[in-house]
Amino acid sequence: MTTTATRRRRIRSPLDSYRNAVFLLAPTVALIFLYKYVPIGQAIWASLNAFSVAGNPLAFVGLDNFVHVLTDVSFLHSLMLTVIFAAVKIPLQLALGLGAALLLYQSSAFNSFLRVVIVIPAITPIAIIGIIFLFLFDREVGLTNAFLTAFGVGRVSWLTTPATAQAVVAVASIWRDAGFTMLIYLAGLTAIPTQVREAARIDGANGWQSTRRIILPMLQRSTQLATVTTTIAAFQFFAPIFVLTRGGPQDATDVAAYHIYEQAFVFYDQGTANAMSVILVSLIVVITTVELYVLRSRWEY
Amino acid sequence: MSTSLTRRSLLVRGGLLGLAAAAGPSLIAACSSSPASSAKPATLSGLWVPYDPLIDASKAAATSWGAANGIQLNIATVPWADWDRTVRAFPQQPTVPDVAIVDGPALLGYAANDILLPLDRYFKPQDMQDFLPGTTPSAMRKGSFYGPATNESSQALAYNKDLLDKYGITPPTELSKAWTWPQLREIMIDIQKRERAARGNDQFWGMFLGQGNFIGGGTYTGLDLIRSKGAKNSNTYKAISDDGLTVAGYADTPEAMEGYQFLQDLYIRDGLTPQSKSPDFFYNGQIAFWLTDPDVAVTGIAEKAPTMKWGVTPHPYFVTPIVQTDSYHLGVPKNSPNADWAAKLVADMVSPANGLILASKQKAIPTRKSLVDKADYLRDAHMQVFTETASQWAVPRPITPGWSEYDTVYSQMLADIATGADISKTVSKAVSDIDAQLARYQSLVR
Repeated sequence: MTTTATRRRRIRSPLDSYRNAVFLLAPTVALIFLYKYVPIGQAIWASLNAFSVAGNPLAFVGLDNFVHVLTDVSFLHSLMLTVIFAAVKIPLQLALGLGAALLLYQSSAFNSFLRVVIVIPAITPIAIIGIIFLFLFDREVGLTNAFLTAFGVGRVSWLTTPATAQAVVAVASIWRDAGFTMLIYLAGLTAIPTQVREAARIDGANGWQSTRRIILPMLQRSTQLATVTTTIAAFQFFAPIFVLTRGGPQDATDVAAYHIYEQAFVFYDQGTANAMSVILVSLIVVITTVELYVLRSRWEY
Repeated sequence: MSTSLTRRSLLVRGGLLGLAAAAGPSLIAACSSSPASSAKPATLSGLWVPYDPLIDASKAAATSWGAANGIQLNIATVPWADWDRTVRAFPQQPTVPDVAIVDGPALLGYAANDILLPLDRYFKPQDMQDFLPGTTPSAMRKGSFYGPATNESSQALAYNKDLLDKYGITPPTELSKAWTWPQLREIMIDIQKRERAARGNDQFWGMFLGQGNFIGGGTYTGLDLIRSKGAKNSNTYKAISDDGLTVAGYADTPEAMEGYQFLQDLYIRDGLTPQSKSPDFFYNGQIAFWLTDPDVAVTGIAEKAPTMKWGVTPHPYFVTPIVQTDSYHLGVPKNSPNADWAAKLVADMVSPANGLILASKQKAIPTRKSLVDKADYLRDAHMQVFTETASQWAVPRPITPGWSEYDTVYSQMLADIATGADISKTVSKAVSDIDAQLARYQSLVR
């Protein structure tokens, strides 16, 4: 006697084969390896070498470049600026993104319009954002000072005074990225089962209690993702500074990414620039690892 | 024996073929011992900056040589921001342009790094003597010449004639009667005060300094003011050591420090200069004087304020009249496969006949002394002061192999000073930073 099961021939998907999977994945893995990991490996190797001003390797110097940059006051200053910048950007951006998501979560034509308005800066080329802010904050012809002087307030040297220049580049960064953070939180809100909200309402929870006790804890994964992506963006912040301030005035916006660019492509010191890059990337990895652990989700739904 | 074409063998063979195709050009280039092939190419490739007047003029200047030799010059451009980096990377590239536009002040660094071919044998001694004095020092290294300028630049003080007529001011046109900076400051204070009162707002200033790249005028314009504080050939006047490796003792002399203070006062205390990078103020009638170069002034005013009546008066100074000039040069990458042909083309593009085409198409000052009198447009009243300045007061910008480093740090220093930074601390830090960067070139210079 033959059973149906024994008669039925098993139909194999091409993906069942380990060999096929490797074959299909190989091009992608090769490209990622070639264009992501090989350059990282090259950067690490370059950080252990000294280079001529023409970019030719001169000698293996071990950790000398790291000793040099870690005792370089200007690099430590740029790292400190970056950390301060991240400490301002991350909470403000998360608060703005979450606030916008909570306000605009309900479906309506007006909310959809506002969502688009908030997201547009996130898809605008970052160099253009720099130019927009240049026109907004130019001391003599900027719109901000035109507005202030109309009310009898004196002109502010926004981009040429250290404190205000730092504030402008921080605002530019947060304004651009807040829309992306809002999208992350909107996706998170959409994933929260409506029954949970309804149960909370039936149990008598008011809006604040529902948000604090139900919604925010259930958005933990969104918060984790938003925090990590914002942290990486903060540490890599570069383009608006390139357009607006070039690291000035008086090194006030000389954040690590700009400092490294200048070291590599203006001063042509490849060994030092690569050592700085390795330190910056290591710092990002450490901080985001801590964030991933601290902000890990403690429940599933 | 039969040969079966399996999928595996096909992949292996394809992979090897791909590797060979990828590595081929590099291997061929590595095996080639001579940088200059004698085989005549059909085309020469050129890498220019994205500046249309220069591109059009270059094509026109290359036409006769191209027709005579059957070689066409194809010009591509590189964005301004990538220009220096691109030229510096030539030695590492498997393919490079045959001719490249290089910035005069950066030329010595390219020569020191063995990026460009020396072109001495393509120029006669009479050619070298004919080139204007502001254009050759930056192109010389250890007695070798690395490329002629496409034209000479200049700087002078353009002014709004209607405005100055209104206040009864007639600026001098002779270099010998040029205003000093203190004289100009007094005039600007007076005009600005009266004009602001007449307009009822603060949107009018005495002058705009430079082309708008940097507040403080950068190394091209701002540094003129500082260097003119020194007597001729003093350290202040030189701005950098003779070997181009030290600015301590040159950029921080007592005279230079006075110059920085004057610059800061122009922007902050007297408020005579807008803290903005927009040169449109002059076109809009919001500025009395504009310290600028002829290309920007003549072309810009013709395009943006064609009805404006304007004039030109010589560059102001303190102790010694000085105007930094120099412009774009033509260079030949050392690893160009057609270096010999490219060098011949370069030499022909600045020949007396083509040099005039190259300059006149840009309405610029020719690179040769012998052509200055032949360029009709230079007799225009606006161009005369610029031209005489280039002939009599021109000096190159500080000659150093580390121009990119020097230019970046020094220009930022001037911008910080102009916007109110502590002068002593700012200069001290900049001098220290520049010297640290230039020290890396010691082995190339000594």
